Amino acid sequence: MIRTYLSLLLLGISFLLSAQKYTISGYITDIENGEKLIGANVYNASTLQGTTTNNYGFYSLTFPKGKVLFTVSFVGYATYQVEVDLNANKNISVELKPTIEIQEVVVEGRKTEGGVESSQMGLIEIPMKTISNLPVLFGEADIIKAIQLLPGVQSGSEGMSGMYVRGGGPDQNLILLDGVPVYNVNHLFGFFSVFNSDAIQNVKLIKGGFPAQYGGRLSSVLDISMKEGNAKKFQGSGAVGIIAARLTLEGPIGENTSYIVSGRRTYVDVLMYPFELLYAKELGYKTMRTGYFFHDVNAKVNHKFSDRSRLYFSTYLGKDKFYMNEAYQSDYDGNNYKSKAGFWWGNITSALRWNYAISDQLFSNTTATFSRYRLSTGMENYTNGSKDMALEYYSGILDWGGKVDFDYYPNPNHTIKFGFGETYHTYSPGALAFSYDIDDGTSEKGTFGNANLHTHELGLYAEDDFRIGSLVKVNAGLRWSAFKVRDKFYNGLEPRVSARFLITEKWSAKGSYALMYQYINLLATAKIGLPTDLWVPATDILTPQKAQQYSLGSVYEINADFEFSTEGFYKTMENLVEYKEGAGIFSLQYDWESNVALGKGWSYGLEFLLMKKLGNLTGWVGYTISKSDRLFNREGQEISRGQKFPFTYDRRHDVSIVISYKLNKNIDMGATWVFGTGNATTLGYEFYPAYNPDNNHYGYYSEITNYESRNNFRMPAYHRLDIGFNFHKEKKWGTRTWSFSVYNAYNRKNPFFINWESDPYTGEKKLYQYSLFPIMPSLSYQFEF
Amino acid sequence: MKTSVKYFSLFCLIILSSISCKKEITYTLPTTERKIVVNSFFSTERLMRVDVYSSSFVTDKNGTNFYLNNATVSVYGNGSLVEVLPNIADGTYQSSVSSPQQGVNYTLEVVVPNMGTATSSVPLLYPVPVLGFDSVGVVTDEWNQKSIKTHIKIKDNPDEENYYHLTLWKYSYNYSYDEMENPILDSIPYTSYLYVTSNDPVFEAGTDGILFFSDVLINGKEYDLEVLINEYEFDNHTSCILAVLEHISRDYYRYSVALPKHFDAEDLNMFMEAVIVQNNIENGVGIFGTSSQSTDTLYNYNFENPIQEIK
Repeated sequence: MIRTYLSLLLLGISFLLSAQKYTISGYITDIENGEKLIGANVYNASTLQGTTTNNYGFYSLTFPKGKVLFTVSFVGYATYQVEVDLNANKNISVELKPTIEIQEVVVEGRKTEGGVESSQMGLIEIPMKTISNLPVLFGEADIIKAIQLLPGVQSGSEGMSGMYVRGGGPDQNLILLDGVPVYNVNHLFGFFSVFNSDAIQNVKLIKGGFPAQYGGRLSSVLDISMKEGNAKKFQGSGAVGIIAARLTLEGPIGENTSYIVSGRRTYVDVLMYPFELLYAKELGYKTMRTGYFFHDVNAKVNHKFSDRSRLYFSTYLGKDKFYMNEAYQSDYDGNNYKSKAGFWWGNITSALRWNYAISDQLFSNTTATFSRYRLSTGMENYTNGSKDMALEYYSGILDWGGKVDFDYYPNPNHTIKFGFGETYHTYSPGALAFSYDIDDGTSEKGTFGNANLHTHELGLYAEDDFRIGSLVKVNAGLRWSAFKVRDKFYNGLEPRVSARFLITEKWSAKGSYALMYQYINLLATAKIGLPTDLWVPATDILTPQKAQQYSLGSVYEINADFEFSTEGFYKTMENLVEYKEGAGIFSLQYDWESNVALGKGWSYGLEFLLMKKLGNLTGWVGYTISKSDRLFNREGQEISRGQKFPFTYDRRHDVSIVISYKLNKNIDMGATWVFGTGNATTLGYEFYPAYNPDNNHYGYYSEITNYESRNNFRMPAYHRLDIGFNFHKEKKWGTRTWSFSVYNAYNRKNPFFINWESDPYTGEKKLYQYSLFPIMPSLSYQFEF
Repeated sequence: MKTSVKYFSLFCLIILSSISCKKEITYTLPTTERKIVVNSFFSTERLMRVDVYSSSFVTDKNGTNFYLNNATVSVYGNGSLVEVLPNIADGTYQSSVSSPQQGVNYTLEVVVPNMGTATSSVPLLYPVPVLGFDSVGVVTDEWNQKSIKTHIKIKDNPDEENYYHLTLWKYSYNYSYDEMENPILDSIPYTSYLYVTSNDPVFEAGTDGILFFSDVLINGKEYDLEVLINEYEFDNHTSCILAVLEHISRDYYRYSVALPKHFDAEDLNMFMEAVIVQNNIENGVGIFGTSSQSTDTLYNYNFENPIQEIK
C-alpha cells in the first residue's frame, strides 16, 4: 500500500518536471507596512488557475506562453489586476492596499482558494483584526480564547487558555510560534495565553486532514506567525489595561531591514508595593514582598539581502512568577535574616530563518530553532548575607532543532512541498536540588528525582496539492517520523490525504485521512492545567501515541459574504498517557515512568460553521456535537476499574456565536455567546467503611467513596455572553482607542469546581459549585502612532 | 498615587467578587438502594471474621449506625459449607473455632433481609517461602542518613500471577525505669512494626513504605528484594528483625495499593482525579482478601542480652 503510494507520488513529480513553461513569482505584501500577506490568492482570472502565497508571502505560478490576467486578491485589501504578456519568467511582487471599508471590497472573478476550492479540511484562519475586536477578560486580547470559539475546540475550565481539539488532550496540539514549538501557552494558570496579540500577524488552526509538513502531535496544529515589523515607517502601539500594559515598537532600519519589539507586563505587584512597605514596617521587617507578575517580550528582525534572499530572527521570552521575600534583623541574636521563596515558569523560543528562492519555481526555507520551557520553585535562606540553605524543584524541556522546507510550484495545478527536520530534546521530568550548611561548617549539596532524558526526533515529508480535472483537488503526502530515546528507536510512516470534489461552483464535498505519531506526552496532575504538568518523552516503556482521523465534510458558499461548512470526524487514539490513579507530581520520589498508565481514546462528532466574512457585520456561528471516551485497561494500569469512561472535556453540545460589528468610523463592537454541555467530573455520593485489619499500618478508619466510574457526573451547562465596545478617535499623534468589555454580561454562575459540604449546624451535606468569574467589566486604553 | 490607590481598590473588588461565587446545586441521588458492605480478610493466622455494614449516602445524617446485625454470613470452602458465622458485635461475624486453610477456595455469602445477597470467592494461596534475609551493607542517602541495606530472597512461583505484601517487625527489649536512684530494674520484650524504605523497582510506587508488590518483573524467578532499614533500628535493644512475606490475593493487593491513594485524592480533590478502590463483592461493595505467610529472621549483632538487674 505504502510502496504503491510512494511510486504514484514520485511518478507524478517526475511527470511535472518535464513540463516547460514561463513562471511568474514574487511576494505579496501590505503597501502600508510591508508585512507579508499569507494565503493571498494569486491567479489568472481568465482561466481561474492559481495558488496562494505561502507563510512568507511568496508565490509562484507557471503558465504557458501568452496573455495572463494576473490577479491578486485578499480579504480586506483591494484586488490587484494586470494583464501580463508572458514570454519569459517574470518577478512580480505586489503591494496590496488595505480597504478602509471592508464592504467596499469587490472580488473580481472567483477566488481560487476559498473554502470551497481548497483541498484542505479542518483549517480555519482567524484574522487578527477579528481577534482584537472580541470582548476580553481584563482587557487582554487572547488568541487562544478566540480559537476556543471555533467548532471542534473545547475550552476546558472557566477562563482557561487550554485547548482540547476534537477530543484530544492539551499535549496533542502542536503550537508553533514562527515555526518553533511552544510548550506552555499559559500565563496565570491559563487565564491568559502567552501570545501578545500586538505582535502576531497570522493565526491558522488545523484540526484534521493534516498536511504532511506537520507532525509530532495528534490533534491539531496552531501555526502562529509573528509580524515582521513595519518596513515603511516607524510605528508604535500600546495599551494600558486593568492588570497589564503593553507596548509595541516597529520600523525600518535602512532600506532592507525591519524590526518589531513588543512587551507586556502585569503590574498588580507594583501597585501593591506601597501597601506592602507599610505592612512590613508595622511588623518590624526590613522588607516583606509578596506578589505575582507575568511579562513577555516578542522581538523580530528581518533583513532582505535580495529579492530572492531574506533572513529572519524572531524570539519570545515569557515568564510568570510568584514570589515571597522577607528580611529582618533578629532582636534575639542581632543577625540579619533573609529568605526568598518563589515559583516561576516560562518559555523562551527563538528562530533563525533563511528564505531563499532557489529558482522562480523553487522556494526554500531553512530554520534553526530553540525552545525552552522551565518550571522552578524553591527557596533560599540567608544569614548575614551568606546562604544557609537552598532548595529548588525544577522540570522542563529544552529543544534545539533544524529544518529545511521546500515549496515547488511546477505549474498552477501542482504545489509540491517537501523537507526534513531534526529536533534534539532534553527533558527534565522533575528533580529536586538542594544545598545546606551543616553546623560543623561543611555543606551538603545534591540532586534527586528524575534524571534528564535526551532524545532525537526526525521528520521527513513530501506532499503534493494537485488538481485532477476541474472538479477534483487532492493533497496527498507522506511523512516519515522517527524518535530515538535511550537505546530504543521508533519510526513510522504517516500517510496523509485530503481531497475535495466540486459539486457546483459554490459547493464542494471533502474527505480526508491522516495518521499521526506523537513522541511527547504531558503528564497532568491537576484537573486544571498547571505549570507543574510534566513534559516527558516516549520511552522503551511508553510507546508513542498514535492517532488516525477520518473526516468528511462539505463547504457551501452562500454568497460573497456567507459561507457554510460542515465536517464530521472520527478519531482513534492509541497509547494515550495519564498518571495512574493516585499518582502525580506529589509522587516525586518515584520514577515517573512507573506512575504512568497507557490507554486508548475515541472521539467522533459533527461540526457546523456559518461564517460571514465581509461587510460591517462579520463573525460566525459554530455548533459541535461530539463524544469522546477513554479506556485504560492494561493490567496494573487500570483507570476507572478498566472500564471505558468519558474524557474530562467530552462535551456533547458546544455552541458559539461571534459577532463583530462596525457601527461607524469611530465605534465598533464585538459580542460572543458560548454554550457548552457541562464538563464531566467524578462525583461520589455513596460511602462505605475501609477494611481495617488489626495489623493494618495505615491507621485508616475512614470511609471509602464508592465512585461508579470516572467522570460519572456532568456539571451544569456552561454559557456566557461577553460584549465589548471600541471607541476610536484620530488624534494629531495617531489613534487612540478606549475599549470597554463586559465578560459574563448576564452574570451566569458557571461551574468551575463542585464539592460536597456539610452544613455547620445540621451536618446535612449539600453539593456546591464554585464559579470563578461573575460579571467582569474591564477598560483599557490603546494607542497607535 | 491617587490613581494607584483607585486601581488597587478596583483590583481588590474584582478579586473579592471573583472568589465569592458559590452556589448550591440541586442534586437527586441516582439511587436510594443501599449496598451491602462486606469486609473480610482470611489468613491462616487468625479466626474467620467478616464485617458487614450497609453503605451510606451523602445525605445521611452524622452518627447514623450502618452496622448490619441481622445478616446470615455463610462461609463455604471449595463449595461446601464450612460455617455460618455468628454475630459477635456491631456488624462483626466471627468464628470461634475455624481458621482458614491453605489451598481452599473460599466463598462468602452474606444474606441481608430486604437487601439481598452479596457474595465473593477467593482462594487462600499457599505461602511462598522466604529463602533468606541478610544485611548486605550500609548506604548513606542525600540527607546523610545511614541505612542498613538488606536482601530478602524469595522464589516466585512461575506461570501464575502472584501478589505479595512484605512487612518487617522488630523484636526489642525496653528497659523499665522505676526510680532515678535505682535506674534499671527490668527489661520488657515488645514487637513493633518497622517503617522501611526501598528503591527496588518491584515494589508498588506510591505506597510510602508499605511494601506491596506483584511478580510482573520477577515472574518465576529467584529474587533478592532490597529493603533499607534505618541504622538506628539496629541499636543494642533490638534482638532481631522479622520479615513477614504474605502471599495475598489479587483483589486484596489492588485494594491495598489503591486505598492510601484514594484517601490522598479525597484530600486533594481540587487537584487530583478520584481514585477508584478495588471491589470484589458481587451485589455489594467491599473487599474479601486472603493471605498465607512465611517468615525469616535477621539477628542483630549489636544486641545486648537483656539483663534483669544492673547494679
